[in-house]
Amino acid sequence: MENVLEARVLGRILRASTASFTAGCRTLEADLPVFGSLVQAERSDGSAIYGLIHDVRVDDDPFVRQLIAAGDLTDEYVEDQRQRRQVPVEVVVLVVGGRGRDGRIFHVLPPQPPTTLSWVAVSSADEVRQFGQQLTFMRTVLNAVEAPGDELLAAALRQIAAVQGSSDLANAYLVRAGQELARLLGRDPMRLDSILQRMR
Amino acid sequence: MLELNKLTKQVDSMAEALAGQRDRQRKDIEAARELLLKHAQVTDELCSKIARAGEVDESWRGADPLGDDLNERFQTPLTGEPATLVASDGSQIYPDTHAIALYYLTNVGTIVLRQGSGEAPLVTTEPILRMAEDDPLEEQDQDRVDADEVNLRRDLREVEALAALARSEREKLSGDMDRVVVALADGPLLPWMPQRLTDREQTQHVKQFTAPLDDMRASYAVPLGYVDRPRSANVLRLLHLAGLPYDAITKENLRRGSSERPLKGLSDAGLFQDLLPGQRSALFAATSEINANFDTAGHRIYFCYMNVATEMGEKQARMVRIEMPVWIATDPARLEAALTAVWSDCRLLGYPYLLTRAHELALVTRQEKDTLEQMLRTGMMRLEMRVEESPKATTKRVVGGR
Repeated sequence: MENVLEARVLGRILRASTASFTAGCRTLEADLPVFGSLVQAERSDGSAIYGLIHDVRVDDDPFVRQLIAAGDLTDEYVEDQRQRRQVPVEVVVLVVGGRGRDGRIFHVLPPQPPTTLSWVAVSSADEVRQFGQQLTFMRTVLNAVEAPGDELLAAALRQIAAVQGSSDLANAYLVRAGQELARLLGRDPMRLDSILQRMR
Repeated sequence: MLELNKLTKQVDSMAEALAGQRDRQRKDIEAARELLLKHAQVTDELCSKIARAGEVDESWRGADPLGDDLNERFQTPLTGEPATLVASDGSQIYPDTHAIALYYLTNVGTIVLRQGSGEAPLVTTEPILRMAEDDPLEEQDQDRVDADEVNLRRDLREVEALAALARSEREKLSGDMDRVVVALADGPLLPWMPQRLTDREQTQHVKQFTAPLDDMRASYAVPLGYVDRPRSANVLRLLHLAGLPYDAITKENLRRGSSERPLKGLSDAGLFQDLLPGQRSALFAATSEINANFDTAGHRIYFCYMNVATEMGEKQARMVRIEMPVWIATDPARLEAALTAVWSDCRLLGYPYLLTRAHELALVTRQEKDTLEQMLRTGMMRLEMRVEESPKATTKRVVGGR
């Protein structure tokens, strides 16, 4: 893995399908993944699969329960639980596109899912900006069955807007996304309004 | 299949029997504590009785006190200087003649926690896979490794890992000898050795098990064996001996003592259950042949009982037996500092956190064993070997999978 990617690494693929994948990562508090972030699973041929985080799950663990009941914990015990124990945080991702071997971004489902133990990294600001230029991924998110599509789309659009470079550009991006949303949800004004509210 | 409906009456009877036993033992413990008070003073007469017991019955499992008061109690401080705690634990896959290959595995998990550092502990696991037949790497009289042998090898790896960690931690402290490095073992420091071992094998094993103790002594570490819920009765046997007239010390009388009330069915842990939180008993050495061999190597093992609970009251007491070599037993300051660190580590779970983690690290789950055998199967098939578990193993797996 390249050093640049290593700095943003989230974890590795635990399980995957064409439409979604789950990554396992360690429980470092500061780096806990954010709902709606764009992430990418790397493939060995240089291509990548892009997705949006829609769920973060911390496994139930009897040992941790026992410690919580025990009360005062010194830092060494807390860090042991967070960094050393094999209880990964599971990050569930909705696939929304990818990047081909030639470096081109696409906004449809990839032909193959990522493979087990592939690295998953949080996309850089440049990659997020590049991916967000086209808005065709919005339909995929709205149609998602196993993800809270409306909440997810609003969160993702806010994050893409935030990396546009200035507040004017961010506003312009949100206006453009709002127009596309109005086109997609023209027959469902209630839903449209609900998402627009969340985008602010 | 267990037909539970056929067990209801037996379960009720057992519960009643256990309740009766508990009531009987309460009275017996009181009687035993009176004996402890009566014979608390370690006199020359008692010492000569201990020597006599060893002469008439080599296998007498009594206790040889280190101090002059059997009932002395020592309070461990609630807090102390930060220490470094290292711990190890092992697990294993025993050789199975029904498996696809006759192999065994030992896995040792270790953890290092530096109190006060705020850092995550260092953890490792080290698995070793070996063939269980004609192992050319091991010197042994019999040509097949059995479960007892695997246990011995696992135990040895655990204590060797402790010594290596203790040495490494002391080196990292770059000459700081004030910081206590505690090497905590899960279970007794005296290994259990199968009866069938020849003298040559036993000598060899004692040499192997005492070498890491030499190492730990050199790195100024404090090795402690932590025995949870100990069932041993060495001190009770000593009390029985103390009550016998010198001339009545015979093999028969010694054996009768522990099979008659009040000592029958009791353990030392029950005797010392009135220790206050953080208190420990006096120090004793178990009088066994293996301990005599450890003594010859300069590492006679002593033990004490300790209440690692933090709440007052006998019902809340958590009795453990702590073992240590003579060079720690005779160094009260270091022993106290080490027990303070261990007691502190027990506070979260009522059991050492480090041993819990070392166990978790070492544990080989059923699923991991299955995966290992799948890897082995693939490796063997690649070499065009016939891979087959026994029909018995196959049917047990199929039936057990319900």
